[in-house]
Amino acid sequence: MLLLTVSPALSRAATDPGEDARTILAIRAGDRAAEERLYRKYAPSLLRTATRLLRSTDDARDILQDTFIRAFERIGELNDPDAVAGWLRAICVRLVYRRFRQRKLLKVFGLDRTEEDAQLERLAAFDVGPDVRAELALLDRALDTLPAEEKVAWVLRHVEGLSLEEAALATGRSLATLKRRLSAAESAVARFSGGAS
Amino acid sequence: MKPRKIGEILTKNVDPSAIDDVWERLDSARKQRHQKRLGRWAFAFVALAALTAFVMVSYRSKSSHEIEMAGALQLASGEVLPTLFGGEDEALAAFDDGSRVVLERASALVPNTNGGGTISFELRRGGATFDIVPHGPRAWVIDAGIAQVAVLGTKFHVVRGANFVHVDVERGVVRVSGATLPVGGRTLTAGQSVDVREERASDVDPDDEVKTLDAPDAASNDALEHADAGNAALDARRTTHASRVTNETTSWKPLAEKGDFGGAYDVLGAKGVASETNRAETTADLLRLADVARLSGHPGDAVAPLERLLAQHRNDANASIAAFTLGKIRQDALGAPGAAAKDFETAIALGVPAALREDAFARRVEAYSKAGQASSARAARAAYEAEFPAGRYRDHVEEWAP
Repeated sequence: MLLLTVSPALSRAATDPGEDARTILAIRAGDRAAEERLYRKYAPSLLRTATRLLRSTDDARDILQDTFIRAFERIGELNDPDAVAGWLRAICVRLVYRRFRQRKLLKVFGLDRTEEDAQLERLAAFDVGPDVRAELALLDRALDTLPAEEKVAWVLRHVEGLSLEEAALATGRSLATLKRRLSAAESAVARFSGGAS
Repeated sequence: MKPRKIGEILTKNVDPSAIDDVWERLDSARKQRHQKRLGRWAFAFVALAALTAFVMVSYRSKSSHEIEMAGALQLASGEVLPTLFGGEDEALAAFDDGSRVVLERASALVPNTNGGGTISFELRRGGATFDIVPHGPRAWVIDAGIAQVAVLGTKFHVVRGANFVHVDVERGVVRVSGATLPVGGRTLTAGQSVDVREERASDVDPDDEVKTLDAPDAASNDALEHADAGNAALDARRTTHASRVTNETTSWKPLAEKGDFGGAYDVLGAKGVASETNRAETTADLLRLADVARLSGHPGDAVAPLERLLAQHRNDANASIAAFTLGKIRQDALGAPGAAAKDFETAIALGVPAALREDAFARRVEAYSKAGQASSARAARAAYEAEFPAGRYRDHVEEWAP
């Protein structure tokens, strides 16, 4: 019996609707403190997302750094300052895709030295029992079999708990594409889990 | 056991030191990224510039590079190049580099130098149309006795008569040199032609010379049917002729006309050049004597005929060329830049031909500079720059007269 479900909708911290807009305006005006405010607010969730997607803490830190470098460079392109959370996540996911492509290329030449130290099993909370950890390990192996696009879609939806619309926005794909990839990933995970069990 | 959502069983904690570390290095990473971008642009610019330079240099040096690499020219069939003849009708010869020659009736074309990036033919008689592939791997030279045609790629027609050579160009550029052409020869472009006629000295019967050396009779025509035998026959006739000659005035000119300046000087010697200088009646003879001396490695002996030409035929069309040549000899071979500067002044004043004009202006600057006449050198530089604002010696004259 599966002890885990994959339903979405993790709660997100409520924020002051005008807070991000004010921060963005201050950043555009050259306010260095505002940059740090924005970073401190969103860095933890982005680092967590990057870690879960890439399964490597080192890679995740690099992605976090590059996400904010790009964000600060392009802050003028952000049309809706209140949508900064989704915008940052989209940047982060794009960089994750790029890292997957780099890994693939390096693997072809036998040069991929990525140390995966953050699989789902290792990220389990302290109080999680061994049976659930075993299921997480099974999920890790199932996710290993997926193409990057499907893996990202599945993790954003079922681990990060994004809505379909949020996941589509983060991946930069249409809702239909996102659904198709998600469906493929879910089928593969189900097959793997069923076969393994 | 109640199922749990995945997100709920994963830790939500992140390493706070990781957040701090990334923030602290964010500034330097942004600067590095900015510098990397600039570096990329700079690299792209340098790479583009290098590529452009490479393409230009490759394009410009293509001919000379290929010339260095080219081996012997062969027939298109792969056979070794034979002596080519035009029989009763025109004959076509195709070569392995794509070039072609159409030989007119009763013509004979003998390959001489073939290799090292050069192919030279002697057009012994008749006419031929050369269609040489542009930018090919070899320099082509056609020797028609009293005229030589140098070319890299073009289409032109050469006719060798008893005492004349006619060259006309259909496409491209050729350079024709000959005894009666200005020093350095004459450049012909598409649609242009030149006739080079043999000059006759009063004490020589040039027809005899031409007949004997250059226009094979029927017997020698037969000999030419077999290349080796033909060459041997001609060489034998030349030897016989040389031994027959007792008067130097009848022997050095044909050798000089054939470009054998060393042989001509051997006949004359320094004394012979001096005596012939005194006897010469035409400026062409004086220039030819100077050529024999300087091109056989005796530039000092060339001074007398050139000085006489300048002294006695100052209004002759060849006077400016003589002055220029004299300046070159004094500057390059005799180490007399002061006198050379005066010669270049004379050449310019007499109206040196356009092909030599820029050289004369530039050499004047160099000569004054080497003679230690700085103010004259600067004046000469100013004159050069005024005359040739984008001249090819601009950098040099700046060095000579800073």
